[in-house]
Amino acid sequence: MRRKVGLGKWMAAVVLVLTAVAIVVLAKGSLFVVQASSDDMAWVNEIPISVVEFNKALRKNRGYSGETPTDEWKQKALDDSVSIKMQQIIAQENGVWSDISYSSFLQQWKRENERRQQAIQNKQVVFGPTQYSEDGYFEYMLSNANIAVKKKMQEQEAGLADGLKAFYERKKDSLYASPGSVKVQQVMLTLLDANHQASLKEKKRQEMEEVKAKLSSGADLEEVAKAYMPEGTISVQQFAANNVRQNLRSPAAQAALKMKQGEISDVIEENGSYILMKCMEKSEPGSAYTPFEEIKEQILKDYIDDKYKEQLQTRISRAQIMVNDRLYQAVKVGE
Amino acid sequence: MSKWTARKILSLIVATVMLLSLSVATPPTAEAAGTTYYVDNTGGNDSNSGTSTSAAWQSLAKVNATNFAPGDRILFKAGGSWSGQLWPKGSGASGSPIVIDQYGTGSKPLIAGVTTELSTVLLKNQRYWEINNLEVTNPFAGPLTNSARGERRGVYILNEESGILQHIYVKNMNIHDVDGIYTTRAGGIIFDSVGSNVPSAFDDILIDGNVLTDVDAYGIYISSNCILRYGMSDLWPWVPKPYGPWTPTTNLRISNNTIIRPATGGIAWNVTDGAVVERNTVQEATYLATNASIWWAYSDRNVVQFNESFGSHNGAEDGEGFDVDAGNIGSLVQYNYSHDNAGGFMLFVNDTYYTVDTVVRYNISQNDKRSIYRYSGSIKNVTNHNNTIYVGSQSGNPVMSDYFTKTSGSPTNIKNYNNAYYSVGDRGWNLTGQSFDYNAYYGGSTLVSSDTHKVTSDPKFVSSGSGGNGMNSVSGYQLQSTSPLIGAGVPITSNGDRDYFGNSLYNGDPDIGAHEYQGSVPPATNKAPVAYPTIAKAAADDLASRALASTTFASLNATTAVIRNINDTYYDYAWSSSTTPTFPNYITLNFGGAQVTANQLKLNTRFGQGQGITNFDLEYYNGSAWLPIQSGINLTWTSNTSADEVKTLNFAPKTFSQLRLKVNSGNHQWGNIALNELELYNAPTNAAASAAASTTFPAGNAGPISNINDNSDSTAWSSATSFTFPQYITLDFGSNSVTTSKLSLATHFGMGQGITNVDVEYFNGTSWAAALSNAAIVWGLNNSTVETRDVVFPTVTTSKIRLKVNNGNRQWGNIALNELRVWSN
Repeated sequence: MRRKVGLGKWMAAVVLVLTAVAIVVLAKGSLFVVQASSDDMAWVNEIPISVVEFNKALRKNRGYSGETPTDEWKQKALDDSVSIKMQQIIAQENGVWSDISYSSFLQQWKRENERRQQAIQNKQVVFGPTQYSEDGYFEYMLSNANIAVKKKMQEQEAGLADGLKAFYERKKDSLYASPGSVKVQQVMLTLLDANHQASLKEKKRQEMEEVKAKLSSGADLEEVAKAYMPEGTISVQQFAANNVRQNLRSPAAQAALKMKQGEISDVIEENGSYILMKCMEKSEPGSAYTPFEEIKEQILKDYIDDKYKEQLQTRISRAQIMVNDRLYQAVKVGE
Repeated sequence: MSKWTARKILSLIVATVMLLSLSVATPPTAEAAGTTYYVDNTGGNDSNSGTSTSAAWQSLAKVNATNFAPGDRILFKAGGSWSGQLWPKGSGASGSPIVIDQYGTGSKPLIAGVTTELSTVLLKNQRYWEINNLEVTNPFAGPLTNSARGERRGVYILNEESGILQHIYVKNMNIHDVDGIYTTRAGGIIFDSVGSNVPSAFDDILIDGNVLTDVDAYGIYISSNCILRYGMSDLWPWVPKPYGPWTPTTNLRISNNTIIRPATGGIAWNVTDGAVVERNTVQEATYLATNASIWWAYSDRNVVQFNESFGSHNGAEDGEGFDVDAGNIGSLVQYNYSHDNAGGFMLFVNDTYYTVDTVVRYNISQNDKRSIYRYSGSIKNVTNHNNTIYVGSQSGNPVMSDYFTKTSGSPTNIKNYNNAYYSVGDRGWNLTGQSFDYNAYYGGSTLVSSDTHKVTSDPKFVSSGSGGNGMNSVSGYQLQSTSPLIGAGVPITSNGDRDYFGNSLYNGDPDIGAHEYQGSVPPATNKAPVAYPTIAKAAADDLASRALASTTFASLNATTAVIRNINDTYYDYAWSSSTTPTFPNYITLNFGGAQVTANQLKLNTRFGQGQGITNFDLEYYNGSAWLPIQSGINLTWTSNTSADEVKTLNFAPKTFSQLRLKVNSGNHQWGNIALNELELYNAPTNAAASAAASTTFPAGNAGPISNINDNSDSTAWSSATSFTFPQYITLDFGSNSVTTSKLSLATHFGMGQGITNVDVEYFNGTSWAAALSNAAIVWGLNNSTVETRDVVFPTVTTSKIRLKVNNGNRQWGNIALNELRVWSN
């Protein structure tokens, strides 16, 4: 989630220590007041979130500002810390992250950087950075842990095939509505000669215009193309509307996506060729669903991602989340 | 306060100090003289001098209003934070860049972007800058599709009509929450060249050690509108028009960056030459929209290595870990780890132009999804070799490769050698355009039955599918001693000399997959090596490509027929004169300040009978006047087809900074004259030709030892059938000492009688010394075709050189040698 940043000046987050020792429970979990004292900022099912971890979340969110910046910023940092800790707890339960304390992470991070340095000296393989930053390596660990958890979920999922189908049916309106596509018959004529030079440009353009004139009076594209320019290439092309990166640099793709069924395009120049298209089929965005079989791998990925997200949310909502009010109140942010 | 509480306080302080100490600034290194300015958002004041920590400036406005000088440093106080845009003015100079960094200890100084400024950190038409250790944001509320986001950036380096801008380094930044729209000019770190009027690009770019988190649209993007060449003319609508002539950014290195959850692509670059992209991690790319994790387009000589690319989210279109995109000439993708990407491992796509000469070798792909390989559009010459591909249950049920014909054309000439495919379930290959040989197939539908030298038994990896965090964990893809993949591959010429794990190549015959087994193996069996297919081009030592080409002829047009095509090294593209050329006119190679020495000129013209140059004078510039090298040179072209026809002119070595052809006449069947390539070499000469040859081998019956230096491949020398190694073959140059670093052996029936192992020794005036030891020579043929093998060694200057022959093929008892050449410049 990205939020708007305010114009105010920020001080660095500082954690001041007061002597009060009351602990109250905040956030989404069940409410408890615990008469205990600690130097941890919060607990998720009694697993601590250290001040260092909370500070990281504060820092990540320090571009954040709301009506009452201090409280919202702190709350956002707390929410993020809880979510991350719960992801770690799930990873731990699945046997993919043994010690989820931050001090253990720091040790692991240092070990990994030492290993990388050593391996590079020994001319062994290292991919990714020679040295990971602390934040970068934490994200790396978390992302890989989540992938490993999802792998286990997939392996343990009973009735996966049925589950996938049901998920597809349930989500197809939001996730699998066809992005829209157009299928065209296309005739293409290079305007470059054997040396990739445009010496034939005018002549070729004229040929194409003649073909277009014939087509407009009802002639068959294939026949006309063959008769008028035997060296032209005829093919059927399909353009998917959601392939933004590819379509937007292709004049032909952009023209095709605007065509109606049966329509004949203008003569389009694209990277050394003239192109003429006739629209054969058009599917408007959202008018159909991408068939299940075509995107099964993506559905599988989405399904497991969704299951994971659901589990994470459920676990957070059921968790006992305690906040060390003494420390929490002492966090002074903003000015 | 109780004792217990005091202990807690102490531990808190320790924790805070630890946090701070992790982001301590690296001490500034002294460079050229300049002023150091300090900026402190709480303790500073803009009316201060700024030149000491106690008299620091306070605001970005003050920094932005300052014109900095070469060698200046601008240091922001660690732990401080500023809102708005940082755009310091001025430029550094060669050796004296202007440096931005932090001072003191604490978290990196934060420059928090504001809605009204699209770029949080900006340099515009500036050169010689280094930006280090800032935290940068530029957030905006609302979804990726909200156009009000604008082309928002963390760091934006803009070159607008300023020609070549040198030396911009962006290092160790923490850039996060940049919310731009989906264009190639929005994201974490964007370099952008706009050269509609003045061809513009960067030289010497380093983007290193940055962490980019939640950056939209791209993590790192190198963008340009100087794209026009070879008929290539289509870019995205947001790239400013008119486009400029293809002007590449050079010396670009993108390394050691971590890119986390970019909305679209993680790292992408356009219009570059010689880009090196290595040791980056891109994770969870395509977080919000379709794209590919690491991709490049319109770029030459790309090297992409040691990257980890994983967990891309969106496989509806693209979504691969790596993407060789449109208009690339030469790409090398090696030693990477691709895993869990929604779209697959490798995309080769070219919707609108063409991409040639891609090599993908010694990579590991694990649990990538949808299409492990996707070939789409006009892709020519792909070699995939020694990759290990593991398709586990988490992959779903992907296709191994799919294939699409696009407007641009079809993928052609895709070669697959020595790859190991291991699958628990897939939908097989679309084999169109591809060939397979010497690959290993295990499980799923991976088997390609047309593979002549396939291995289909259990590959016996140490532990397949066990890759996870970090490259050390993929050791499961190493081979057990009983693996059938050991020695089952084919040698590849110019293979990079190392396997995935850093082992030298080869140990015996090549292994299949990304690991070259290091245990004891049988000796190599001299399998014929395979070379990468490439488009036709000038040799690597062509000097003409270093020059600026110009002509006094009018050219046919300003886009596809430009004069720079004659020294772009690619034979496919030509210069053409107008259809009414007048004679004489000049074609000039200008080496700028550099002096080059050359002795050979080559002219390549297609359709030479129709448009070739037929008579020219060759002249050089001695610093004050043009002088003739050779005059009235006639060329007779014998072909009128699209085949290359190369004419070679040798001349006495000359040293010059400019060379020109005074073109006196040409064929003009279609009006114009044309030239595909003009190549210039300082060709080595064969010093052996003037030496005296001798040997300690007993003589055989093929011919005398003098046959090895008669400059003719068709005559040979052979030994007797009975002798013991080692023996010597010596060339004595007499009183003419020779400087050399290369010799070549030419042999027919090499697999039956070729020399296979030598030391190269030279006479240092008093005794023989080794220039090279234990060099292996592999022959691929056993017929009358003469093969040539080069032996390269550190340069020596000597009056005598000899081969200590340690081993050879002795099918008939003897060894033989047709020619021994010693190359001297």
